[in-house]
Amino acid sequence: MDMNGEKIERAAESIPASLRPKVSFVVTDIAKVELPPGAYDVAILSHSL
Amino acid sequence: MVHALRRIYRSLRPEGVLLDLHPQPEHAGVEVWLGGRVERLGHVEQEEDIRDILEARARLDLVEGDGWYLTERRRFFDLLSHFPSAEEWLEYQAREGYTGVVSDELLASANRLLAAGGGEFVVREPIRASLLKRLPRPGSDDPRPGFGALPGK
Repeated sequence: MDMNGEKIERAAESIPASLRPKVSFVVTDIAKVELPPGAYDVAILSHSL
Repeated sequence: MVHALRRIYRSLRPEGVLLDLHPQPEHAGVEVWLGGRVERLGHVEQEEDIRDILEARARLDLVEGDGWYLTERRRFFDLLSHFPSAEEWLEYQAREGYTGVVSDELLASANRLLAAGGGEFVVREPIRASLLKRLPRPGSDDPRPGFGALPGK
C-alpha cells in the first residue's frame, strides 16, 4: 500500500513473475483503508511513519 | 499516524507483529566509492525529515505507552543507496519527492572524484528497525484472545 500511485505502478511492473500470484498492490492511505479485522500475521511499515 | 497504528492493530491477529523501519533522526552521509577507497564528503541536509521522524517517534511511543504494542526487538543498520553520479542521485531525489539537499561544495567534490568514471555516489542512511508485538487486551467483550476492548476506549 502506498499513497503514491507512480510508486505502486513501478512496483507492480518490476515484481518478479513468480511473485505476481502472491502479491497485490494498492494505492491508498493506511489511515483510511478498510482492513479486515484479525486477518494478518505481520504488518510492515517501511519509511511510513 | 496514531489512527493508522490503531487500524493496523485491529487488522493483526492476536499474536501478530508490526515491523517498522524508518530512518534515524540523523543526516544521511554522502560518500564516493572509487577504486577500493571510500571518500566521506559530508551529509545530506534533512532538517525537515529529522523533525518529522522525531514527531512520528513520539506518536509511536504514545501508542506503545497506551498498551497497544510492545517493542520486542530493535536493530540498527545503514541503508546504502548507490548511484553512478551525483546527477543521478539528484534526479532520484526529485522523482521521489525527497527534500534533502547537499552543498554545492559537496557536489563539486563528488563530480571531480567521479569524473574519471568507475566510481559510485553513495548515500548512507542510518535505519532503525523495530519488531513490535501486538498486545492482548484484558477485559474483553470479545472472547477471542487479543480481541478485547481497544486501548483508549
